[in-house]
Amino acid sequence: MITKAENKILLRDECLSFIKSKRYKRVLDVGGALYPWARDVVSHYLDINDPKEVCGPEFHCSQFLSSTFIEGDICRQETWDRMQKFDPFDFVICSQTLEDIRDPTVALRNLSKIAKQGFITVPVKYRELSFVEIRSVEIQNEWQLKSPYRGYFHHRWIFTIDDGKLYLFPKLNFVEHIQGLENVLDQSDNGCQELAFFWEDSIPFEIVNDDFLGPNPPSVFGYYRDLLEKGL
Amino acid sequence: MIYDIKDKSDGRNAIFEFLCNRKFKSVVDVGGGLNIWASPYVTHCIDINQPKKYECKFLKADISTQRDWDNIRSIVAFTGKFDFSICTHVLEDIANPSLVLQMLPQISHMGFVSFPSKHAEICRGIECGTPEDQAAWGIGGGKYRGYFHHRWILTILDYKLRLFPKLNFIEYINGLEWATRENKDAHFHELSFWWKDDIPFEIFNDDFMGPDGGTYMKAWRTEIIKGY
Repeated sequence: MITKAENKILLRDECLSFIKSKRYKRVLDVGGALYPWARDVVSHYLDINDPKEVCGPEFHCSQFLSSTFIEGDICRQETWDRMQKFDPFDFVICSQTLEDIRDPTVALRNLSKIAKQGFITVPVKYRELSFVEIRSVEIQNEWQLKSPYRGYFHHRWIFTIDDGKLYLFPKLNFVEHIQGLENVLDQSDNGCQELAFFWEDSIPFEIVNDDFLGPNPPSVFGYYRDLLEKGL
Repeated sequence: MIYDIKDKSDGRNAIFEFLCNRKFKSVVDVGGGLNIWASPYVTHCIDINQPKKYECKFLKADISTQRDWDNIRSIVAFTGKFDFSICTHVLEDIANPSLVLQMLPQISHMGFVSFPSKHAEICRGIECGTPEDQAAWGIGGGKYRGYFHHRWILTILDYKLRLFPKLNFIEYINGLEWATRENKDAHFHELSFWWKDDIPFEIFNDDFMGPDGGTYMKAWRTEIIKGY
């Protein structure tokens, strides 16, 4: 279950304090090898990118201390089957990763099989639906764009938490055209930073409408509009 | 391997003729539960949706999850691979088509795959083309590209299937003007291929959305124009 969720304050410090207070020795960071903000407490990294190869051995030595790197594609079940052969982890962190990958449900189903509790962060929906990335006409021209787009170009999912459950919305091209998202964006100046939550035992989640983008376009656009307004 | 790529004619007629002549014992439709279009020849259906209009053996599975495929594979290990598989207009709809592409050759010896052409998926107004539709559907800012619910654009280059994520930035990138409904050379219905033994495929840029937006978008634009 989701035990605490926030979108207005950064919970990362609280996460680090919690792990330190519990003196956890086996802490896994999933997908965070290239931005290892929790390196003080992380013992293992699971990522598709080996930071040693991407950033060079110097970066690896200074940033990762004695942590263990495990290479794996977290969209593939076989990666998680392999992870279950490790001793259980005390805690697992997955930060700003799920929105990037083609199928986050594989990770969401499997995180609770390798640890009893954890911490997840994703971008807030307000940023993902507003025009945050193309900040100047120069960048727009350099990237050969006619107009800015919503959110971050490489993010494939938008998230909300409502009634103790994480909801995933595929971020497809039609979101550029749906009318009525202004109601969501009206809240964008409320100091939202990232959507973060702690979980224990399991992670309740659902892809919107059971991942069925139907029965027809207007109804899909309608429930995107309605459901994105709800929750965090 | 991939062969007999078709971007114009209706590849389905060839399927009917082929299946009629070969008289296979087992033909499976993967993901087509809502419309088993080759129903006279299809013996099994793997889908989350049970076919209603046609009696064939239904193997309920979420084709996006490995566990369900593991179940199917355990059946296949006992019965042997299907003689033929059909997977039409499915891959573009799901979050992880690479799993299906890996599994198809593990459960069948050969098959037929189809999906919308890149022309159909990139042109504007193939859905919701009129101002009246747009008003009724709550759509503003003009026509969107392709079909609203499709997550991937698929092309074939050098007999390899290529998958491009259909992300929201494609609404605004320059250089896609070649895909118009008015282009007489465009083929709007579908791209299809036959395969045997395996299906060579890749996700564009190894599914890495980097190293930065400008570089990624430039490569996306350059690569998607290639091939079928």
